[in-house]
Amino acid sequence: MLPDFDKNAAYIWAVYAIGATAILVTALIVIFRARASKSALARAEAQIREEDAA
Amino acid sequence: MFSWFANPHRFLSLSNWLAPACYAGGLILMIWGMWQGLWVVPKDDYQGGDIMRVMFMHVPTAWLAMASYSALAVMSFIWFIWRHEVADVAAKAIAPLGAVWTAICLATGSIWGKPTWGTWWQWDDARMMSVLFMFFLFLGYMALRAAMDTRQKAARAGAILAMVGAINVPLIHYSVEMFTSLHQTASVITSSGPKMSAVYLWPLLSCALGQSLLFAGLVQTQMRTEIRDRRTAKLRAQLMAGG
Repeated sequence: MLPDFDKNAAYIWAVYAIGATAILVTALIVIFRARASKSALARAEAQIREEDAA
Repeated sequence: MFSWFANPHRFLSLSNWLAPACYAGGLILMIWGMWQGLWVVPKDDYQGGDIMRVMFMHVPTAWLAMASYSALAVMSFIWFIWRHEVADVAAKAIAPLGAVWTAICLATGSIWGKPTWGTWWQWDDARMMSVLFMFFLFLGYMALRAAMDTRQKAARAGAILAMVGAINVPLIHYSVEMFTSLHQTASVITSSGPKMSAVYLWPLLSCALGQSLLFAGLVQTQMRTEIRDRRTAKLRAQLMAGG
């Protein structure tokens, strides 16, 4: 199902592979960082609540 | 108007639905554009045959690299004049993403250059060098911020660098007309309108809008992370003071 390109096919696929991989990896890093920061904030808020209750 | 957007709570509730919407819209447009670019549009022999399909990845990254630096400079200016913290948060969020998009632009441009011009890189090409300079500006902005010991100093130093570096953006755009370059002159963003055929223009615009939406979604997520990190740091300081 892959399109049949001329002699420059390797360059074309390399460009799309690099672009898509870089965007995907960046998106994953951003999303994982967001999740980590969300849980860090939840932990800090829980600690504050415990301190207030004590 | 800036004050309305400067409220972190308002930003958090807005981005709560806007960021996922940007991701969804961006992915759909990018997939459609790339499918058109790789499978549907005919090859253009005048532009070197199939290699012109690289345009649907490279050109949007180049536009977005310039747009992201412009956004960084505008956010820095807003912070510098009005001291709106959300503008500083936005600037800090834009920089690493702008650096990634500029790196993709440089890498994909270099790969396109080899079969088209016979070289991976040309040191006296004004367009290539000004984009490389912008990449270093993004890295310099992040390094400068990281080197400062307080958030205010980091924001101030970063804002000055971002605003001074903004002179490079029009230089990139006009570099092909003003200086020596292997690049062709603009064929989409021109005063007389696009010179490109609609069969190539629509997929290109779809890829560009798709990448822009994805970028906007990632910036919002980064901003939400930064706001949460600042809140966490404040709570930890409160706990330390209390203990």
